[in-house]
Amino acid sequence: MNTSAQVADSCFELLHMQMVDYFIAQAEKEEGVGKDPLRLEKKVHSKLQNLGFDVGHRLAERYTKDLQRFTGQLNIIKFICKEFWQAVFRKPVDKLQTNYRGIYVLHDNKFSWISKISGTPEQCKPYLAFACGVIKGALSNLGVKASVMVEISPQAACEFRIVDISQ
Amino acid sequence: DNPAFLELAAHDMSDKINAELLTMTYGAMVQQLLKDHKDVKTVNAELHKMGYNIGVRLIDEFLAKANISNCSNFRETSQVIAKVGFKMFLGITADVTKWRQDGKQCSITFKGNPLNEFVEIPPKYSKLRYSNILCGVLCGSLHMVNLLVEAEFVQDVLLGDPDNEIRLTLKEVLQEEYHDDEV
Repeated sequence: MNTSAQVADSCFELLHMQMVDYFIAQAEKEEGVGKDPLRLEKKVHSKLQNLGFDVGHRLAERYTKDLQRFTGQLNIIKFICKEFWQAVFRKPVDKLQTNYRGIYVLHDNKFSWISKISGTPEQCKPYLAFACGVIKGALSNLGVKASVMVEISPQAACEFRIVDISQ
Repeated sequence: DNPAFLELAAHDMSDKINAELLTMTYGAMVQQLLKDHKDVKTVNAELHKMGYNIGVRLIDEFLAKANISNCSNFRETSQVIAKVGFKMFLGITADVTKWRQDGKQCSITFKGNPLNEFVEIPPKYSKLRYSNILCGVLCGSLHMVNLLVEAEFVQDVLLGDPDNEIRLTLKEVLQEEYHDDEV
């Protein structure tokens, strides 16, 4: 495939929303509506994250095929913040923080996948599970076993917290 | 209107992303559907439904950005879908062929399909309409402009056919009705 092949971003955005809707509906079908909202939410989150993991894993494989091997974990994270973020989320990360001991916090002041969703941060939550999976999958492909969590503030500002869990 | 010019313009009209993200996400979604529903027919229907929901929203962006005038008949509509719509959203060109005499059925054919890249269909899924979401999108978006259509994949490169072909059949042109009411 020609790597410059391009599609409209709205195609992806709308597909992504349909996916989230599908998983919520599917979970409600399996669990029963309104029974245990927390359980339901967890189920939706983990399914979307698993799906994202596969996608991120493959994307990282493609995007790094012409690059030299990374030296050190920080360089892997920097690649995720710049090139990978740009390719997948259409802009680089705004700020990276780390404690130099396996915890990284990536700040995106306007996360593109939820920038068009109107709703409280709480309502936006399911729309970030897939993204967390994508990041986790990409990291895994590059040799970093990590957990990825996200905090949402108003105006689609997101804080992704990556924790190296290999130790 | 010169279709070639329209095509060229259409490509630049929306924000673009690399096709891989869409391709792989869609692939993962289809796999999930196959896992959730053992019956391939249900999967086809789910994909169609998802497409329909996408179509009813995509049409807004299309009308807002494509800068086209009203289509006066189904022929024109089909032409605009193939030449402008496919280019604008999927970055590919499509042709309208095989018109039925009454002008209510035609085929939209295209060679490349970003959804299909890297995909192989195992023989046991030969009834799967992998890109059926596109049919849903067509139905959904045309419904929003009062055209009730049926769309169906009749050829798919994934199944060894030379082209992708969606048969589009116009079922009904909906009329908007307004009734007098008291003020």
